[in-house]
Amino acid sequence: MRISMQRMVDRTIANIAMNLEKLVALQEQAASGKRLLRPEDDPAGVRRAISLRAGLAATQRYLDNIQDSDDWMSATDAALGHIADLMTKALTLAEKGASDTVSADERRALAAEVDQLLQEAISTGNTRLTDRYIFAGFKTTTQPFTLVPGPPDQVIYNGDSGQIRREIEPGETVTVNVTGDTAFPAVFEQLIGLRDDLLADDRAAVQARISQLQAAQQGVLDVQATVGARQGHLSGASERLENMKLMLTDLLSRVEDADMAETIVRLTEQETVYQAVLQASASAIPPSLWSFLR
Amino acid sequence: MSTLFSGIELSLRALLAQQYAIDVTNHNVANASTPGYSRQGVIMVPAMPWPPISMHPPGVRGQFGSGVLILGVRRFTDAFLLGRLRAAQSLLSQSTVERDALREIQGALNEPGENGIAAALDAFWDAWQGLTTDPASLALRSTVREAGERLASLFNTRAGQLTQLRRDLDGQISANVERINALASQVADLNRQIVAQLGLGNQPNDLMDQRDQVINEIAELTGAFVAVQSDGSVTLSIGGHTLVAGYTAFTLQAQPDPANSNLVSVTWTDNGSAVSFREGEMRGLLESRDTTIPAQLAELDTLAAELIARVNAQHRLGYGLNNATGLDFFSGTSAATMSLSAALSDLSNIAAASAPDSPGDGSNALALAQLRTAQVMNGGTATFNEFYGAFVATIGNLVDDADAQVNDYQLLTDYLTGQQQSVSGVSLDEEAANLVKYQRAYEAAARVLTALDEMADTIINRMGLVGR
Repeated sequence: MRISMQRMVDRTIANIAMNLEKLVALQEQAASGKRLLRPEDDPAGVRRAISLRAGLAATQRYLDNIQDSDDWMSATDAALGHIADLMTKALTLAEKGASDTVSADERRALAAEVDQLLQEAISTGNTRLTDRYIFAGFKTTTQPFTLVPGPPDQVIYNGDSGQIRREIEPGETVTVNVTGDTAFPAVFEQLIGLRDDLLADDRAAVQARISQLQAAQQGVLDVQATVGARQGHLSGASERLENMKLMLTDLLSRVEDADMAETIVRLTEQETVYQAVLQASASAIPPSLWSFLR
Repeated sequence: MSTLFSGIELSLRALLAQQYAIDVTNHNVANASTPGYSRQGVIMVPAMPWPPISMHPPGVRGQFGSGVLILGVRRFTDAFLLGRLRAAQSLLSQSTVERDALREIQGALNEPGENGIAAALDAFWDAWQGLTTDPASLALRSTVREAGERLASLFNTRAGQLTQLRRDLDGQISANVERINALASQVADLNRQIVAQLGLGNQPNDLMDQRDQVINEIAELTGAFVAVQSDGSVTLSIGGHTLVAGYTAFTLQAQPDPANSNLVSVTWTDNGSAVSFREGEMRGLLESRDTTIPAQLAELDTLAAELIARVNAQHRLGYGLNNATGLDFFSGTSAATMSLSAALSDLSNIAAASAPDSPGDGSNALALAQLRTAQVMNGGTATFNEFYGAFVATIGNLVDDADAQVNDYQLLTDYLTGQQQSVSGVSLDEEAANLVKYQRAYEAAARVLTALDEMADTIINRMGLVGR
């Protein structure tokens, strides 16, 4: 085949350009550390990367949700624990008040103490977590419990029975709140009753309160146990999600990231090839018969 | 009988022929890197031998040669190869244009990465999930609004980029129409000159190279069909309609088509019918402008429309902090028109709750966040994210396929260019060898002439001097 000058120059330029293109692509990979820079690099991989990224974002969000739910439940648990403690104190006072050796004045003093416990129980029922009333159901901006003076005094519930649910794993929701209409009414009713019985110096009634107080306290403890169980559920989910996050990150890195060792070896190899092409071109173009005639 | 002077004439012919051949070599060397130049060579033949057949032979036996004659200068081309090369180049430029358009779409999507629609979608669902943890929080509501805003504006930008790309291609189409018209009239003009030269018995090699070069460009743009006529003129046609016949060139026109967003349609000026480009850059441009890009835009629109519809339907069911209900979250119906609903200027209108008077209820926000995993696309078989991922992957595949096609045609074009160059290209080594050959022949002819001169000198100056 006849080889023309132009053909030789064209081929040389094309070869240099092709090798330079390969070199630039590898340099881009090495510099960015990414294997996938454009959808054309690996369409199926890009599709997977998009889906993995979405999964990763959602997993992180579920973990955040769990953290936030856990804060809420811990606040709930603390409040319920405090109420149970108050009930224990109330029981001690009730037992004192039920004794024959206690005078009417002393019962009045005990009543004052019970009243303190009642106030504290109400304010515990009105616990807020970052400006939200945690026992008010959906009405997180409304103070759930207010004392309406009697007689007899009454604590009314201004919240609703809304169950605040959050997603902690795909499709799985957990109720984070305890509404004020579950264990609280009995507590308030018994505390008010005890105080009024003590004020009325009614020893038999005080004696009779004890079992009701215990029942109310048990109610609180039962709810607290439910909250504890839910928190346990949260930490189980959290562990699964952390594992999931690790796995997704690893998968994403495998899909997206360049294998640096391989990339650098290939880059070095390509650099050598490129230099060889340049050298070959430099020695191939100049000579022609013209140089050797005379 | 040969005479002394006929010998001088013979030498002169030889000198002139070699000199002419050196001129042609010089021309070849001068054009070694001229695009489209076909190397030329002199056609030398032995001149008519003497004597001719006659009733009165001059009384010698046999015929004597009368030297060399230049029959003409030929141009080394292979019309068949050239035709194949043109076809390959036309396909190459078509596929290159289509590949470049797809690359631009791919570039516009900006995937995979943190700044694409996929990331904005993730952030949007994430914002709704976040809102479930404190539905009354204005900060979280604001996050939801910003995420919605970002998503809508990304859809707008992408649609805008694709539309702009169509306009850019449209500009190229208009410019090409001008170019084709100019080239066609050049071909008509060259036809006239070539036919005239051929009529005079000349061989217009350089004009023919020039015409081939112009035709190459037309073929690359339009995939035009080329036919050489017996008078040496060339007829060109595109999609069955004549572009150039003899000395006449027909023209194309590009006029805005109101039915196609005022993008131009290309028609024949003489009868107004549409030009059907079967191959070439124009085919690629029209295909990209009218099929490829609209198809991708339609995918984006499908995604945007479904997203708007689903988010709005769920959002309308919920209640805002101010108990507002039945409000849309997005307005618009396509990627280009998608925006936040005007009602969202008041953050309280974001419907996180499923019932009125429930500031702590994030169940509607949760329902919205759960749209992330809802299989609503492709007739209920894919999530928004999966649909978008498939869309991006499809474009990646299209770019890959287009790349492979460009490479195929590039290889074919390279191969044919090599073949064509091996026939038509100038080899400097060959020209150097020719130059040596012609120069030596010239020197030798000059030497013969010198010998003849000396012979004449002998006769004229030295004979008849006896006894002087």
